[in-house]
Amino acid sequence: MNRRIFLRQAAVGGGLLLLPALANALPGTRGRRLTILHTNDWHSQIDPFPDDGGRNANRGGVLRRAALIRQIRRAETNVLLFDSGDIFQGTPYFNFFLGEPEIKLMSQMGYDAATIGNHDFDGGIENLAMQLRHANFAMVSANYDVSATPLRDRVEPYSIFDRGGIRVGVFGLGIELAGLVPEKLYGNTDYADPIERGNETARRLREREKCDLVVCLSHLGYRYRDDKVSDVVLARASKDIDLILGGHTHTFLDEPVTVDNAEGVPVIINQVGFAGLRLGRLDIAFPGGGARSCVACNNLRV
Amino acid sequence: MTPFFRALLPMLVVVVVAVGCHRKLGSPEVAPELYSITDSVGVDTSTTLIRSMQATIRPYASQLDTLMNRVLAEVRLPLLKGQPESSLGNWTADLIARAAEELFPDHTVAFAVQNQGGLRVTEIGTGPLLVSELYALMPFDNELVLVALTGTELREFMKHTLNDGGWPVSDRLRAERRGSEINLWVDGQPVADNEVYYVAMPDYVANGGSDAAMLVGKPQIGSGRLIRDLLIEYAARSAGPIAVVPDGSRTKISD
Repeated sequence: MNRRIFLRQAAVGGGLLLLPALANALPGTRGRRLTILHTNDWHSQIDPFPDDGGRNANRGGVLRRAALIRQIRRAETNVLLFDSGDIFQGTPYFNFFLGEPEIKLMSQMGYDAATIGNHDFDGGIENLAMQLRHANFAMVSANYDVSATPLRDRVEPYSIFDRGGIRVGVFGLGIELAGLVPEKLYGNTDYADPIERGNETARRLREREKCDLVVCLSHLGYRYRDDKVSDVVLARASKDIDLILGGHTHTFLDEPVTVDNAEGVPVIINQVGFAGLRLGRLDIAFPGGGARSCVACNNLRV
Repeated sequence: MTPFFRALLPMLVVVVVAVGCHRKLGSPEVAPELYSITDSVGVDTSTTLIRSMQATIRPYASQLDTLMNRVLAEVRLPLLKGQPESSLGNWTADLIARAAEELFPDHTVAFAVQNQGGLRVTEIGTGPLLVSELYALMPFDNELVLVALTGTELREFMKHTLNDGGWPVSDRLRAERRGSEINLWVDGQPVADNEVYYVAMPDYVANGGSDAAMLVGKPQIGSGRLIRDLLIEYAARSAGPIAVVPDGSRTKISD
């Protein structure tokens, strides 16, 4: 079965807290609702950027992100929080503490799952495994075979969450490591084709695991000039993925993009820049009972 | 059917109904929203979540504070990252070259090159230059190494950097790409195919990073020093405020 997914226009005035208004405007309040929050490439940006006159001066910071997440959690019942990799590297916190505060803080913020970015290997694979002991969230990767590494017991291909009766399957895809990360850092991690593994995993989540929504946390990059595998390339070649929450290219998408998959069904791609400067939010409404057709959904759009 | 399975049957039906319940959900409709994380996001420090996160950060932050807030120099003109050359790139490459010249007194350092992707900020603003800003510029623990390349090998490597839009190089190199033609000069002399050139660079690049596969296996001399630490040391030696104005003479690219 191929479920169609519909993307509404981005809410105007992004960044404002439009929670109550948004909740009322959404169709499917009589159906079921899920809120997905996501970040990518937050690169150890624990403190806001310094007040140095630079472009990002005074922006970002985990406490503000946490405050926002907390506010959204208080307004919404079914919330999932994901990260698409490159948690590590970028501020002295990483150089001195090797990712320990980052993982502890993500656990405190209540992340549900994350995938591995290339820079998460920067302290070595043993270090990543060690820091993940502080994690109370799932680390997912479907195309890095870590069975011969210290990550063996810390990384799963996918994770399944049930939020208010909505079954959400989440899997991870990572970028090719050779030529990007020194071999001694990623050790015996085996990279497999993201499209092949992505399609296999998504199909399993859709058919065998009966997921209502299939989400890919990707660190492949949004798109490239050449035919290197990216979120756009993956989306086109995919069959059972609904959402791709991307990373790596630090792309600031002002709204999600839809790309038709191999069967002409739209896949939604989103990415929120880097350094925790933005928090992405996707409110997903499932009309109840399957009675409401998509035409009715359209009618309900503002 | 065995009695055992017959007994299980009602349970199976229940399972099927439960799964079927999921299938009843209609096609999802997604409403996106985006939050900019700025100082307009209020942080309520009385909440347990924020308090516990502050407690997590505090011991790490206080250790870093002393270390990171040391002033190294004064930046008079903003250092900006760009291609084919830029104030930030030229400044960085020149500091690496100066460090290499002192670290490898037994070799003639032809020039220094830094991969563009290894500069991790787009700008260093004016005012006091802090240690923390050089950590942001170069967070990676890359060692400075000297790589011995023949003129032919150097040309192949530089071709890659020029096809990539131009990487930061120090002031003794001139590199030109016109279409597929590559011309290189070191100290004003054209690069000779059979001569050996000692090029200072991050070990990341020397080991094939940033798609520099052509450098893998070339003779390497380690310095035992991290490039970031060298930048901190050499930036602190700046005589007067830092004001770099690239004149475009190091790297020229035309098609």
